[in-house]
Amino acid sequence: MSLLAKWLRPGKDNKNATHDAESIEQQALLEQYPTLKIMQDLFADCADLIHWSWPESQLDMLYFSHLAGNEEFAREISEPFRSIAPDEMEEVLSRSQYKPALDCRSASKGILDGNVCLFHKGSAYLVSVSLPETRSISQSETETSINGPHDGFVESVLINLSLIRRRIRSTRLKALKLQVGEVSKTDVYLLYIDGLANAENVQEMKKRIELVEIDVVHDGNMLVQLIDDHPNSVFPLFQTTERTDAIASKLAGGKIVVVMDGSPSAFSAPSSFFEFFASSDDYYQRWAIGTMTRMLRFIAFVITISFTALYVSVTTFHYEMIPEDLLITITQSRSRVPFPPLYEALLMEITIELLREAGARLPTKIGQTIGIVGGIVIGQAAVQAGLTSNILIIAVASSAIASFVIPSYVMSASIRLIRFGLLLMAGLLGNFGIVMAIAIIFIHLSGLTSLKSSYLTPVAPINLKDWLDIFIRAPFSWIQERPSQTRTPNKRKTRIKQ
Amino acid sequence: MHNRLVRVAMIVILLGVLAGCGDQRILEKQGFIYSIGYDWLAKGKSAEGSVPGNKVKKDQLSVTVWLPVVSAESGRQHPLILQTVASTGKEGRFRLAKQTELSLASGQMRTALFNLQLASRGIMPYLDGFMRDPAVSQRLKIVVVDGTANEMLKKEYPSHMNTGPYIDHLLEKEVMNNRVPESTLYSFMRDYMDDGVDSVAPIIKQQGTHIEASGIALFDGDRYISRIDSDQTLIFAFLKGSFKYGEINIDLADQERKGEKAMFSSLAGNSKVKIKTLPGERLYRADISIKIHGILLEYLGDLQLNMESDKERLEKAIAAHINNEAESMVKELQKLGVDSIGIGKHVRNSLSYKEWKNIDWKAVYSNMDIRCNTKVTIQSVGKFEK
Repeated sequence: MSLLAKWLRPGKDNKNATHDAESIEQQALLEQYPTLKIMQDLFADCADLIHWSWPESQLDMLYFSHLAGNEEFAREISEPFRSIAPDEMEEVLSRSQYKPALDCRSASKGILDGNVCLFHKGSAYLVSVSLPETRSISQSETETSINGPHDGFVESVLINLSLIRRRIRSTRLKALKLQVGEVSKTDVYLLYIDGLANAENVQEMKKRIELVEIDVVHDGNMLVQLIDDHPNSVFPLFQTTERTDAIASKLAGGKIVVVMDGSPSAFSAPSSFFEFFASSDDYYQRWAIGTMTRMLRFIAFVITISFTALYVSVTTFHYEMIPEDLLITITQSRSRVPFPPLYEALLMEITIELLREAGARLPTKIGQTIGIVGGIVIGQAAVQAGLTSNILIIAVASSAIASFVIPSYVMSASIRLIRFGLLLMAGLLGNFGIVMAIAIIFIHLSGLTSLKSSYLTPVAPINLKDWLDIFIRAPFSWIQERPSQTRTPNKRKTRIKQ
Repeated sequence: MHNRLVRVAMIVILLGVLAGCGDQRILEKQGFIYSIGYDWLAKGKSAEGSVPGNKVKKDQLSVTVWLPVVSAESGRQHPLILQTVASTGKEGRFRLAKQTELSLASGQMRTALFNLQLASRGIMPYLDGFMRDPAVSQRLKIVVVDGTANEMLKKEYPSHMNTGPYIDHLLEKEVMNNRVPESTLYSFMRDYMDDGVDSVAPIIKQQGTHIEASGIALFDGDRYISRIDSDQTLIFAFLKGSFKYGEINIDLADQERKGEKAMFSSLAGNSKVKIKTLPGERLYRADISIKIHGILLEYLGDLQLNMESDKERLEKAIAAHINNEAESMVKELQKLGVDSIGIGKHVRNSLSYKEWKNIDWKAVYSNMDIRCNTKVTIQSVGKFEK
């Protein structure tokens, strides 16, 4: 146990020691003026680094061809240097796009960013030819929309920034550039609208991102876990999304948005628990329909966490609760099952989770096969073999379906997990256990904070005006204020100046 | 971190292991008593369930339960009837439990049947047992059986496979139509505890291949005293208070009108009781004003109902008829000394608590002057008029 605990608690002293020893040597090297020799040493054993040399004009260059775009390379390198007299060299290199590199640090970073490093007579220059390969802008797979815009974020942060800037054409949209990852040096942009976002929130978020200590960050969802208020909670505290329209509306609400290079998921903060049940599609429907869908999701939440648990508690403890007409039906379907209700339910829930996980990782065509096989096995064979009861299948299936109604994949996964806690409590203590488990969940939720604001806003602390845009989707003319959770200096919508 | 992890792990393990301990009542292992019937066995009679041939040596109780059972082999449902003889209700349950592999559960009990002999000895000991058991629903119906509950539950009715639900649904429908008053464990106990009203319960009787609601049992405290026959039950509903639905057949035939009959349907209305304090011996007078409106479905007679004047005459005739019946019913109740309508509540409400405590209500009630005043409105006489 103590080993496990030690392994869980990162040994801070150790890590710092090795880190320092490494860096003293490197540091000295990086401070030097870049020469071809030193740079080649730095990139020793990098087979993909191209070294091109023209001895007659005393020109050498180092670059990664896979980071360079063909057109850019031709424009900046091939054409100017193809037929050049050695004495014209200085004049060409003094053009503005050739920036002199003063130390190895900037030179190596430049090469890694997709620049060509030119060496001429002991001086080093950098010129950008980068055109990293990116996926074209497409619809997000996890958050599809029926009515609204279909553009989703991609893995390139610059494209993502351009998508956001195209939606919010304002000089007040600020973007702070930060870096995360000791090894990966990933670019992270912190976006906010000046005058709408709370300045303290911006500072806090900036501080948290700067303080992240980790080698590599691969995705926005990963970064969230490194900077949110309660990393051990099962609930996501910042809302991640791949939808550009969602991010634009968060920014306009006074929230802070963080986009990260290499990840199509941007996240916004602070977020409240109830926000995860809203989808941008709600705003593209008539308000009554939007309201209905939104309420449906809260009902789905209740169904997901409680349906199977209720089945277990009722069949194990509270036969009194079953209506007369259902009593015989449920007893009949239970009569051939050899397990107690709890184990029966756990068996089915785990099978459903297995199916879901198998389907999620497989290519679509095989995924369909899994669905059919699982559907038949679960739906019919299990009942006919007498392993489970019909009613349980309905309960498990409807709670699984309901869990997919929740638009945020991260939240839906969290809810699926806490469902098992409810199930166990129901099997142990019946309805009393369910109530206890729900109480524990709510105690936990009300203790959570998202960027130092209560996670249960606008229920606790209560703010009825916010309910218009949280529990229902009121007509736009009713929603006159920005969400209170952001502590925005400009409460009233459609106004930006103080 | 260390401690927390251990604790969380322990809780999860405990939850998994402990689930399954405790006071479990797994559905398919329960025998849900649907109906329970109590019969009085007088000394000297032979009874089923006791050793055959033996006469009952002392006064005893026969307890019968009807429960739906699902057999694990076929998955089919069939009724199971258990019967035993005991000296108390609880002892009866105890003995019944020995006769089945299921644990008898009372949480789905719908009807409790008491036969007339038992009811006239008082049903409180059994109701008390129901009240104590939190699993027993407050909506359990208290019913009096004319005959024996045992026979009623045991008999197979050709058109109803399940006797328990048959009785239950029959009563529910009869209550809806105001032919019998609602009598649940809750309402019975409420009226029993209340000092201004006496409890009532429906009476059912086995008639050949079916069961029918045959009247209303009037209780004095927890003892059955007398009954109101089924053709009079709607009059009782009129007196008791507001009602929303009912049908009544009225035979207006007397010397003047030969063969005049009316069928009055979709009745709705209410009754109000006013109490007046009188000087002298008879202290109080109660005026019950009954208002009824409904649709005339059938009429056999000479009046032309499309004429306003004739309609009014019929209304008056019906009102007089109902009034007559109501007053004679009230007289009858007064003679029996049971205040099933709840006049006492109105008297009590018109007095201070001290005054109410000082009067001997039973004595006052039987001497009271109670008058009825009925008003009938015929809303329509059918879909077309001549």
